[in-house]
Amino acid sequence: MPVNPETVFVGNQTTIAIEPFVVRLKSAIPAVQSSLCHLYQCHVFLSEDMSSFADFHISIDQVGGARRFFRPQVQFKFDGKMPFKPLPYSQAFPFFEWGLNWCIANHNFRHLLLHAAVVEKDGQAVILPGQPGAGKSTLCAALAGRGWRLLSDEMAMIDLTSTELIPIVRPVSLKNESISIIKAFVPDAVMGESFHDTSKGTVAHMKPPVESVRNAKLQTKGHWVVFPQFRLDSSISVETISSAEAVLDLAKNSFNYNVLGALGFEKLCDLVEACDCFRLEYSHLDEAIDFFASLAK
Amino acid sequence: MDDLVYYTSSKEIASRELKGEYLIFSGFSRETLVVHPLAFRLLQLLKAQPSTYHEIMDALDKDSDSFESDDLASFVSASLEQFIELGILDHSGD
Repeated sequence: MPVNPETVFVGNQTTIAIEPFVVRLKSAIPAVQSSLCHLYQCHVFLSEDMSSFADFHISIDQVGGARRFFRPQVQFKFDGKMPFKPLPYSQAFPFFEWGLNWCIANHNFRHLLLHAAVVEKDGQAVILPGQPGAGKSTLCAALAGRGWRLLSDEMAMIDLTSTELIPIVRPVSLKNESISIIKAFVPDAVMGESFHDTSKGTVAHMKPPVESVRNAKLQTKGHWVVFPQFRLDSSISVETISSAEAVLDLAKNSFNYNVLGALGFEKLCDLVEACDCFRLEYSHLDEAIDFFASLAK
Repeated sequence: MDDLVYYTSSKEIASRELKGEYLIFSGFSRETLVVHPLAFRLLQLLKAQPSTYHEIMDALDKDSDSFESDDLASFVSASLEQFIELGILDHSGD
């Protein structure tokens, strides 16, 4: 059920539990408020007490002065500082999503963070690492639409004690052709507004499934690592890769492996040791989904 | 190689055998390497105790059936050089 911005934003501020974090957002921009309420409608808003603890204090404001009237812009602030240059006003909500990714990736040293999507079925998680364009978000959205539990679209967060994967359930960020592909593949997906002419092209977000949000405290074990690569008009190909190769590639896809040092190495090896690792080249989502279904059998 | 030179593993080194492959992480260079089993054995040896070149050769000779002695000497020399460059090993006493 949609959340009304007027009920969760008090003085243009809201606090939202995006497990395992609490995020406080201040923004008077209607598009930010409405997109947040639409795409995070299954999350818990904690608006009543603005003095409570929050991991991240973010604001998205319109740039003042002449910029209010000529090509208006928005600025992202984290703890009162501006880590990025302003973006066009129309990109205010994606700016929040990208900025929050940055906040988590750069200020969370309690977990090993990999640039990867994570989905789970029957207690067994698939880690989908990938550079932009690899097709991980598309696969992630498709799998979430076929009954897999979404843990994360953007980063695999690994507990440094148990090596379990910690969900950080947020909207799935889709780009360009992937938007229409997922709308067709998952007709009941709840999509947000499309934002055009961003640095990544057109961007739209898919609301995370309600069951994934409800189970956002449920950690799970990694079982497979699949490096996806979308290749137009190719037939599906699956290649088993060695654990050592997977460790090297995951290290390259990590936000904080080098910062964690030997501990990060040990935990990455623990994770990979428990997984079967593959490279997947695909063109058609149906074939890719069948491959994942065969893994889960 | 000088018998007065002792080779030892650096402090922030992690190593791991993973399903029959051998990985080393250097906290100095922040690099992760996949290494030959004998290079891994060399590091394990130096983690246990600092050793001279000849002590290393004596210890590894027993584990290196696939190497001719000249090849083993070249392999050990090259591994020591690379590991020192990457901050995986230190040497002292020269």
